[in-house]
Amino acid sequence: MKEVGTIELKTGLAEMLKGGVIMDVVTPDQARIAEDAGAVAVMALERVPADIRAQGGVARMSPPELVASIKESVSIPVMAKCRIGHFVEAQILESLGVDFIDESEVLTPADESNHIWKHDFKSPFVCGATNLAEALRRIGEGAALMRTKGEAGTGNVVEAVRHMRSIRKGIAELQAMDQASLMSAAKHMGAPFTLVRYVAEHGKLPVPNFAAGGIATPADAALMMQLGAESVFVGSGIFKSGDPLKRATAIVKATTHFQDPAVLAEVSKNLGEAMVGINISDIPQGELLAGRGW
Amino acid sequence: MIGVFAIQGGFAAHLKTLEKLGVTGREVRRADQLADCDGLILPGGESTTMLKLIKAFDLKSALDQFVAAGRPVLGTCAGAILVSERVIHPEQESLGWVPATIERNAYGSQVDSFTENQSCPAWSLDEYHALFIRAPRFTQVGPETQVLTRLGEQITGVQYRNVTAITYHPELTDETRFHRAWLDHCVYST
Repeated sequence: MKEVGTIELKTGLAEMLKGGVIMDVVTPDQARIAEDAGAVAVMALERVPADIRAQGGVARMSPPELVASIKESVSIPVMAKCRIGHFVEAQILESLGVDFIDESEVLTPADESNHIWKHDFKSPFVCGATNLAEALRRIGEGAALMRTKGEAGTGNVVEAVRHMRSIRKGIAELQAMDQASLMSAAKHMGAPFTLVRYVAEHGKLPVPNFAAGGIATPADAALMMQLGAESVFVGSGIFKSGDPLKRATAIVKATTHFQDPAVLAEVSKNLGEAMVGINISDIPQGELLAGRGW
Repeated sequence: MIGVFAIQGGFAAHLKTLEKLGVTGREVRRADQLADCDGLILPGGESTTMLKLIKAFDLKSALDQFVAAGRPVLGTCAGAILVSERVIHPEQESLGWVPATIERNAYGSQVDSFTENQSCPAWSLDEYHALFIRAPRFTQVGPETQVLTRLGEQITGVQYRNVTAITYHPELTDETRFHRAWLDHCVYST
């Protein structure tokens, strides 16, 4: 019997994105460059995170006409971001036929308490998490794909590394527990018990886990992959660099051959200027994005 | 041992299915990793990305030789696009091993993705669960290309000599019957 919008179809698309690079783009031209470079998907945005950070103000869903024009310009999947908790933006993106919706901390949150109930949608959702408990809460709400919540728009990978390591550590801790301890762990984590038990049994999240936030070089992408990410999102790192096509191509190659230092050395040559980058300690506490959502 | 092409895409799910069947699988990213593989699976993923990487790392001749030597290949979804002679919507290059025309994203975007049962009489396979994810479809097949599976009138699975191609994903389900049948009929047949 024909079925649509099932969780297996949603995580199935995430499976197909593995070993790939998802690139932020703000125009159809950039989307074509991303596709030419070998991106597995593009994220259609009005402004890249570096500009959102610089310009301030309320950051919202991209205008529908922009999303539609980017969708028309490429054959690969198109993702778009909605604000945390803004289920109407998500409804609009779904009606536009967006392939993946990112409920993203990069945009200004619309709800301080609740994330979107993602099971209600046919479109799959990706959400960010800083640690295992947060990842399991999002998966409980229906997220089909997780990513780290690295500080977008900084060109600084340190936060994404922290999140990936934290999730790994959380998984290892659950695996070491006996059955009786798992309920208590679920209570302390504030995460759904069934998912806590799944992780303890399988040693991994029930959905794919990608890296995002601050990835600016082929080495950054390979670092996240070696730490256990199954794909990488690259935001400002590409189109805020000196030679976007070259850098994008290099990051794609580095993501495939993340375990091969000779390839990584080769693709890292002559890439031109990387984006300048920001030290996390220079960002005022209230402007850190990872603290958005819970 | 079965190689699973792992330059991008859903290779992990195929490896898991092989593991369930007790068959050794290997991630293939370089030409030399093909040498001792009894068969090769080209997984789903993005065919455009795979083509770029095949070119960038000069893998086409090694893949062509693998097929020319008569060794079995199974392409699923993007893998089916890669093996087909002609690709449309949009037109793009391919490895071109199977006389068939295939249309990319034939059913629409992700919100149009669906699950449906398939059966494969040629391999005596009763209904099995299949996921069609941004799936392509065969619009034309050559006279010597055998049709293996259909969805209504549409052709969803074909075989030409040692190359099998399906537009859907049996590897994303708990079932292993399709892979078992491919191994029995195409790889370790006696």
